Amino acid sequence: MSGKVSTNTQQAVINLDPRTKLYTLMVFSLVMVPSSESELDTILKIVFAGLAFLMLINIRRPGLAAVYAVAYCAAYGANGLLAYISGMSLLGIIIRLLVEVVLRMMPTLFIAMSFLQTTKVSEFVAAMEKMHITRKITIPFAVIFRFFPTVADEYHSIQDAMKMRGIGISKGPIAMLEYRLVPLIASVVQIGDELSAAAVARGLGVDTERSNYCKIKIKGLDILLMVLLTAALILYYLF
Amino acid sequence: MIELKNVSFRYKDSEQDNSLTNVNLSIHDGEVVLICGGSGCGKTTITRLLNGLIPSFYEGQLTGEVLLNGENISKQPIHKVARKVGSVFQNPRTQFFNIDSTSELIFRCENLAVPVEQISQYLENAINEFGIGELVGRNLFHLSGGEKQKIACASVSIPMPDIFVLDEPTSNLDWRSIWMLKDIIMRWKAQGKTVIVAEHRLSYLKGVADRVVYMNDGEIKEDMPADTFWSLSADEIKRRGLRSISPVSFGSNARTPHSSDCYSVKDLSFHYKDGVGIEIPALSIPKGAIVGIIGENGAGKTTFARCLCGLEKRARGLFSFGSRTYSNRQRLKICYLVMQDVNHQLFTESVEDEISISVEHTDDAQREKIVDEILHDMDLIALKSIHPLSLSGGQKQRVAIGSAIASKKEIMVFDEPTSGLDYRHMLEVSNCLKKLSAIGKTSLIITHDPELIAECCDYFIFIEDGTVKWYGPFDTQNGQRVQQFFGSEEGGAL
Repeated sequence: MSGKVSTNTQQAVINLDPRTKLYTLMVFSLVMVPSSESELDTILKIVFAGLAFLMLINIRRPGLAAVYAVAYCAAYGANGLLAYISGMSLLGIIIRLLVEVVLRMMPTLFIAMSFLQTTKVSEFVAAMEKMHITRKITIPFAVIFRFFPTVADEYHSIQDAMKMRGIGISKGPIAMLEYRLVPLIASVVQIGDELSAAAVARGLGVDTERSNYCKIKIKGLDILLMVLLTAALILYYLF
Repeated sequence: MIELKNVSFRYKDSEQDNSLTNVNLSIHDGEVVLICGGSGCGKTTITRLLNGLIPSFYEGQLTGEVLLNGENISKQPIHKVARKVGSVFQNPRTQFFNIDSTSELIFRCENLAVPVEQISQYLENAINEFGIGELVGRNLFHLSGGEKQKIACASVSIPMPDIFVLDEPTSNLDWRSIWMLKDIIMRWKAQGKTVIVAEHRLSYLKGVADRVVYMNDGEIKEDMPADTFWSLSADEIKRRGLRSISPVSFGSNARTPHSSDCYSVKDLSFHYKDGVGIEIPALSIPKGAIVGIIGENGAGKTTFARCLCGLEKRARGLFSFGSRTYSNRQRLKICYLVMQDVNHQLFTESVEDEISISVEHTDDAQREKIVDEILHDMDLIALKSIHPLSLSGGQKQRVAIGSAIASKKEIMVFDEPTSGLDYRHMLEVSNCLKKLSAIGKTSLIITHDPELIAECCDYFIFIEDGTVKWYGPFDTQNGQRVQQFFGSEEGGAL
């Protein structure tokens, strides 16, 4: 039943260094979330949204990229129209909320997704070690990588189980959520426990010497991207 | 040389008494030792002492000494122990840390700080030795249980430890993969390594183990040479609550389902996006039968079960009983798949609630009566106010079955209900299936467990290459076919 999960080992067109991807994600979060009325803010947000689009193309998800582009343009258009609507209707609030989600969160989410999908656990660990970050921080984050496909897998099984039990919306949204989350958390906790035991028994330690087979290297494109992102960040916060 | 001297252990926060009481055991270099005994007998606890997970990972009260070549393992940091002891665990799904197979293969090497140039060498050797060329660079989530276990074995053998500890390594494997694991253990044995295997499944270790330790209630009850153990009679083995040590015979217990009314399946077909799938022209299943669905891993057994239950919306075909036909959606109402990981199917806070939410009656008194009846039938009365997730595996399974009965399911499909169960618990499952049959429910069991089949099945469906090769009642001819199927994978060791 584990066949439906996306691979984390898929190859991107251009492979960026994990550090670059991490930095990109950080800058995205810093620029996309705050809001201001300035022209610079508007331009930067559009440029970043375009960058997220390119990133999706880079991880070979053209279909998703197209959907994203359409959604973004639609949200942008709707945003323009909203300015002319005065007063507060419920529909207006819902549309505004949706627009904000698409314009501000979607680009960052897709950057995070491409990071997760194209980075091996070992590459991530190697990058963190190179930055001299303690393994106390690295290991839990590495486990998160491992958990994404696991949680997706478990969730599919739980959904099947609910279908067979005939538990539908009729029980109310809170019950629906509870019935999904309880078994999900139970199995994730158990998997986490067994996973940690196996990793520890294979010699994974917090403060032990460790070698790294995985070679990661910052290349020209990484530097270019990081310089541009830094420039954008400085522009954004100083002007 | 491994020595356990007067070892007792009690898990922290455990309501049980000691998991181990006064265990004394010495294992010489190069010995292959099988530790067997019923569930909860303490065999897993011994493996955890040997690989250092106790006391480093699982805390508790430990007395006595666990010595490896005279040094106390329990006092050493666990990564030091990891260098000398390689561990393979029960669940292939949860014992890998990485997502791609190559990183997992060299994970132990990296943790032990082996220099990078040397890792390349080790990796190449392991690929050749284990014949896993085609498994390199793959997503572990897409590999079969057997393939994952192979990666696990390869990864703990670079760099080579002196001792291998395996905790129920075959629980989730089919016969073919079990035989592959046997080959690996044989190779380690030939290389002079010490191997300790805690297991329920025993027959594959014949000719591999040098010594057999039998445990019960946290104590070592018997410690005998393998020859003595393998000459024990079937009754003596059952009396100890152990799984069969010789190939199961399907000769004498032929039986047929009681009812002649049949569910019929016609032209069932379904394909995944990658083209793999099933095509079943015709099949009939007697109502109330206990059907064994057998076949190799990847033959399409699970896909068939999912289609039957109506879980695959794109499945096409005709399913009928008498004059009534059932669409995919309608089958979802009358079928229930008891998953291997029952945790996914329990949602509520007590056993009683779990059953009660599935009962349709609106009248409270009526509902209560039905719930009580089911609790009684499934031996759950004593557990009715307990949280389902705190039950044992077998009890959870019974709760899931109970909830299926409550929602008036006619057909129950079980996915490997006895994997990792000892003899007594296997019998419990078998009894439960017989009860279901007695109240007219039809059970289909996907299983690799010949003992369970011999114990309760009265009908077979044999699946190969995505289609039903043959089906029919448990008569002499079909009994022989099943015998042959389990026999052939043992390499003709009958």
